[in-house]
Amino acid sequence: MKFLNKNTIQLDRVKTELDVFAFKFCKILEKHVKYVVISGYVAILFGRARGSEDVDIFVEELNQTQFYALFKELKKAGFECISGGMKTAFENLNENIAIRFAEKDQFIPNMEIKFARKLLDKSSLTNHLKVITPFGYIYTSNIEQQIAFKRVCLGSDKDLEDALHLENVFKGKLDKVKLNRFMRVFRQ
Amino acid sequence: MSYFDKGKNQKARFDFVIQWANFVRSHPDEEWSRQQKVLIDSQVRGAKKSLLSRKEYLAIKDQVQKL
Repeated sequence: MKFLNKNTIQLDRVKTELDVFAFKFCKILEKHVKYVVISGYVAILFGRARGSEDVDIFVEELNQTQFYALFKELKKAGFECISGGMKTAFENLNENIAIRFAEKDQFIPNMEIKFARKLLDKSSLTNHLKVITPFGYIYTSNIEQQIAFKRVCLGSDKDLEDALHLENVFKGKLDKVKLNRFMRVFRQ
Repeated sequence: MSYFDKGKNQKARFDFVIQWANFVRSHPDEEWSRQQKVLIDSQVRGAKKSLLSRKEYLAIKDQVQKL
């Protein structure tokens, strides 16, 4: 793992089936919208020893036309929305309900997508981390925000373990001021 | 003494997480990710053989969300 700059990491990992799925999906997503991968998959990407059935993603808000174009391209590439058809999926997103995409005739693993609407969610779209691997790149939320969110807002054993993993993998590289700021904001 | 000591179990889990994270930090990506791959790929393959229907899976997810 090598920091190429403040916001870019080179990760020479061997790809898993979960990576193949997530990277393929994000490659299409990127053509249509700003996105950022959040939560468990971020910890997994950086080595956490666990699997996951879903990959959580924030995307910037899309209008109906933009969403339909994305939906159609995903379908063409073999992804299916398991939460409903195109219209229902768009309605759900607008009502802050996450939608899920899986490969055709499957439901695990799946991508869980939500519109980034809160201020911090929106800012994670621009203050992201680019992770470059031998099989492509992906954008993730910054590590400090992930740790703070998992510690303060989520707090299950799994989330605390994810946070602990990231803290130790990135020991000496975390921006402590930024981390404490996120902790304070999430506590409010 | 209770049948299951949650605190002790959590500490043991946290200790392992730290131990593994140190391994990740101190070894080449290829080395740790090869070990991680065995775990993740087997889980994904197992999950694809799930006995649940898509509808049942979504219903469970929905319930968890509500909790």
